[in-house]
Amino acid sequence: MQVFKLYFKVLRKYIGTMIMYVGIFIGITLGVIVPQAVRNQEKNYTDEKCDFAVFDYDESILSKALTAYLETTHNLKVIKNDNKETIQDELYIMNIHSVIRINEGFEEAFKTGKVEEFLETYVIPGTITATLFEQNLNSYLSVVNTYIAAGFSVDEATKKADEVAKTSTEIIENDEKAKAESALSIYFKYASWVFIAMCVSGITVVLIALNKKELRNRIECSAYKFVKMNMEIVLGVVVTGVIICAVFVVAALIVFPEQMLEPKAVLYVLNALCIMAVALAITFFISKVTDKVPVISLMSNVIGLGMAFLCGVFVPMEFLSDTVIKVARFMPVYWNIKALQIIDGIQEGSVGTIFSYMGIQILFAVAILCIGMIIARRKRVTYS
Amino acid sequence: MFIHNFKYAMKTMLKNKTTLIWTFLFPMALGTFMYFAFGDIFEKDAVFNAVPVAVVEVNENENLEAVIKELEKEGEEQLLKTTYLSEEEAKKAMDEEKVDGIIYIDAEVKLAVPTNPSSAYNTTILKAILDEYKRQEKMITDIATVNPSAVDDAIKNIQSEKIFYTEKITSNGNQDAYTNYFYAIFAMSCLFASFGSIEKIGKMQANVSALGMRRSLSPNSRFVTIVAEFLSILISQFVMEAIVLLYFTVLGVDFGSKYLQILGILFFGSCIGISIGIIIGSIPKLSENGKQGICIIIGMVLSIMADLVAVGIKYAIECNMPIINRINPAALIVDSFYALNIYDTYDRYIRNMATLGTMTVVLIVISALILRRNKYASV
Repeated sequence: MQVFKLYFKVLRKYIGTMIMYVGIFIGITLGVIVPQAVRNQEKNYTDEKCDFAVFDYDESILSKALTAYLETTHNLKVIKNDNKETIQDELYIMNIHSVIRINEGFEEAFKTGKVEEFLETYVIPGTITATLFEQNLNSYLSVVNTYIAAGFSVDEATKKADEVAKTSTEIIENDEKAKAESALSIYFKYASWVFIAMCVSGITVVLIALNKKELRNRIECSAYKFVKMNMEIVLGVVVTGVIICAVFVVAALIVFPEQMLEPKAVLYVLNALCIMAVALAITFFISKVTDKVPVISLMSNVIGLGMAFLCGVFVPMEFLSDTVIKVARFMPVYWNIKALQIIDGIQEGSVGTIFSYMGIQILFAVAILCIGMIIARRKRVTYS
Repeated sequence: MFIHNFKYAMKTMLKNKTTLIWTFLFPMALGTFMYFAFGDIFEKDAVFNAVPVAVVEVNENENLEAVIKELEKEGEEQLLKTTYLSEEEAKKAMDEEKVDGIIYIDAEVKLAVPTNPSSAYNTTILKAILDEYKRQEKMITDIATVNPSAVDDAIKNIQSEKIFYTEKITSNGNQDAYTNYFYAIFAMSCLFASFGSIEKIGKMQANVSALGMRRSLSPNSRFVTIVAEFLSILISQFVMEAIVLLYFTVLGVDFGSKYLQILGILFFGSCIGISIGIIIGSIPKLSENGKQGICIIIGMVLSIMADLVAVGIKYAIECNMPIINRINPAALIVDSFYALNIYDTYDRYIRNMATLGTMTVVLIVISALILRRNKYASV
């Protein structure tokens, strides 16, 4: 097992990048996945809310009532000042969806009817949140206005409007409750990206080191059998892959113990092993295509990030355009994510479908491996 | 002599794979992925289009039907895109995510909502519309009991559909926050210009490289060598950035129309990236790998602080420690792009460019103080 040992000796030298990816992954798990999972638990229908800020320079009964009403239907936030630049910056990063400025004289103007100039809304024009917020705002004022027109005072009209605002439409919900993506599924989704990036940047350099002409020649002229040497390298690579998978599974057990003890956790693990097979095949392929370290880091980033962006890891699949989805079908990560969705229960499908998606991933791995071997053979021929 | 030096500096520059990859190919690839992944989000998730809804008529309700007819009229004010279906068809359409809800026309209006709404805001808008209808209904009954003579006025008032506010616009520029990621890609690639300059500095120092030894021995003026070397990085870096800009524009990213000023950002951005490389390169007794590592960390951390991975980090810093955004070169680059695209005035742009320029000069002066008059008695 000399070559096998040698493989791990070299791997230890390059372990740094792999540990870096584990670090990034821990950051994503704790920073993105765990908080997201908490948010996804709300399942019954609730009205969506906009974040808004108010600058009330009128401080009248009406302006206060309006603010109070909006606060019950949306989230009131405080921003630094009502300077145009601050408002623009806040709107742009979507920290708030709308700012209203109630100018002095608003209530008086409201009674006479020429109110538009006294109430200003700042929104990103044409957005959904702007439509919703302005709809609510106008609807409330319309009620108050109607009561005033019917002879009520401003104070009475606002109280009436608040009462009327309690009326709402009856909602019919499906018995079947919404299934939000589980944290464990998101965890394995990100793992598919990390596996590829990690293996390509970590293992490829080892394979290239073992493939160096002098080293290769030295081993080949020794009593070590050619097949045995290759087998041991392959074994080393596979063992590395299994160890990485094991580390991620153990980590999942620690972070999401309940979900990992359910029977379907087995499917998650199998699916992770499939994408690991793909990652190892890609690693082998790249080690045959190039031996330059900068090119490897470019490839690991481009292949890893590329599939993550286009196959629905970073951006949920429903936001991707149809063309992107069509292209994504030719990438193994897409099938991994599809399988995850069924395992998680957010997409319908049988266990058979899950296994067929796993099969597709394995086929991808085999195909990539074969292309790698053909390239290797060609190179060897030119070499001898 | 200068021309000779410059020519070779350019040649080595263009053959340097690391620089080429990190300042040119990687930003292009990353931008392409982001473009395809984020391209539709703003359109699908943020921009309002009339809400697709199924209408099922259980019993007649003239008033409600009139309201729906009004809201489905095509035009700028259109809120609903209705399809009249039987209950089963409507449920099927909702399951297939073709509609965001089902309105049941009956004596009492009802709204069925999907289990997993493709747009939760759209469903809320549907509910808000129906709520408004119900509230008006309640209001009219209420007024009729208290003051029957005012009912006609009240109905007229409702029908006038008055708008009580003025919508103010803060900018005519591109408000799509996802464009910010492309600004940050430029910030990152500008900062990665430091790789090139580290290598150049290494090849001038006799205690770092063999080439540096040879160069120190040659009678060539050191000033001429330095100028030729850095002019070559600056030109190649700037040209690469410009090509990336061209590529993103062709791809369809909306940078606004002030391209000349954008080139200004890329120029000052390249300058600051290069000067960061120079000062790190001039740290004595540090291996080249170590220096490159520092450059990657600095480049990544500064770009992440300028919204490379999530929009909002830069603004959080702005609220808590604005001074960091005033001196973080990546934040200055991102902010300049944003200011050009959003504002009509140039105050912010000019302030940012001036800061980048000053920082470049300061960094170069400091590294000159470290590197000047280096004599190698025995290397």
